[in-house]
Amino acid sequence: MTDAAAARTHDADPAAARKGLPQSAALLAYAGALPLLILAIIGWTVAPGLADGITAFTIAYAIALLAFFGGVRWGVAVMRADGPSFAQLIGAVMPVFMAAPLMFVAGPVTQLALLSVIFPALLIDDLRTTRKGVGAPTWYLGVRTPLTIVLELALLATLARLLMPTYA
Amino acid sequence: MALSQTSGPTVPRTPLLLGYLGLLPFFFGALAVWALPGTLERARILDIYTAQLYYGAVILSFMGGVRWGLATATENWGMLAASVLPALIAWFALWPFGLGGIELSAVLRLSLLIVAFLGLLYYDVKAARSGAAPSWYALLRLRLTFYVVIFLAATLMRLASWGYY
Repeated sequence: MTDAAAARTHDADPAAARKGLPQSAALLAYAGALPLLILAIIGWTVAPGLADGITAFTIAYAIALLAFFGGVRWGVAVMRADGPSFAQLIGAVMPVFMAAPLMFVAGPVTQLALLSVIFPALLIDDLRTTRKGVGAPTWYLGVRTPLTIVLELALLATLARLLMPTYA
Repeated sequence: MALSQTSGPTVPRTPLLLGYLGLLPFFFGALAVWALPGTLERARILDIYTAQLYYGAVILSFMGGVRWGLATATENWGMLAASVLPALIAWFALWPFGLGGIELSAVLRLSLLIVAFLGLLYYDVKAARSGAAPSWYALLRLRLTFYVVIFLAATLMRLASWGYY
């Protein structure tokens, strides 16, 4: 794998590593935000009857993504040469502990509001661990930042739709 | 269990405990749909099934995320790309009823999860064999998936017996 070899040699220099980041991995990450964006747009443009289903689907997707981000932490932790630390594994399952009860919180407005707080908080925590050198590679966090911004916009757009007077 | 007697890797205690902790909602979900119908009305039992389905989707997404994390360590881009599939399958299993004219039955939704968990197990075991995951990870996944599938199948059979297929 020349890509892998290239990424490895660039590892010492974070800026170069980002340049060496395979375009496909970045594209894939951004594609992860696409369903939320599409749902946000559809939600704003269709009849309210269908919009309820769209809202439910948006929340389900965001919750799945939250759990996914937790899983990434687990995967990173177990591949460390000295094995996973207790704190890292707890940190990995935390998003699941938040995601699972979120499904039963009453009302999509509360759910969306909580999700729009949790995603940036998780990103900040991920950035912190990467800076300390015990987290995911720099390129992944380079992708996570714009990805979280797009997610956030989609969640807030959906939240705004629910808070419109016609929905009250 | 035969697995724990094979020589070689043992699962570290923390992942093992967290793994079994993660099984509890699957277990209680299956227990409830079989034990409570005399006590609770049908609608509440269906709520419990829904909760178990959502939880299964969350865990499936998590497990896909683990593969993304593993792939960043070995720079295995194929594995990285495929790691998003479980989350997409999980999301599809949660398709809001009737949205866009698509209606998925309870049995179909649970079947989707079961097939995805088994498929993912296959690839996780493969990854551990090739060094893309720690060898103990395969052992942990085998044990946990065994129970996840049993508990999901128990709920599936209950709902199938009520005609939700």
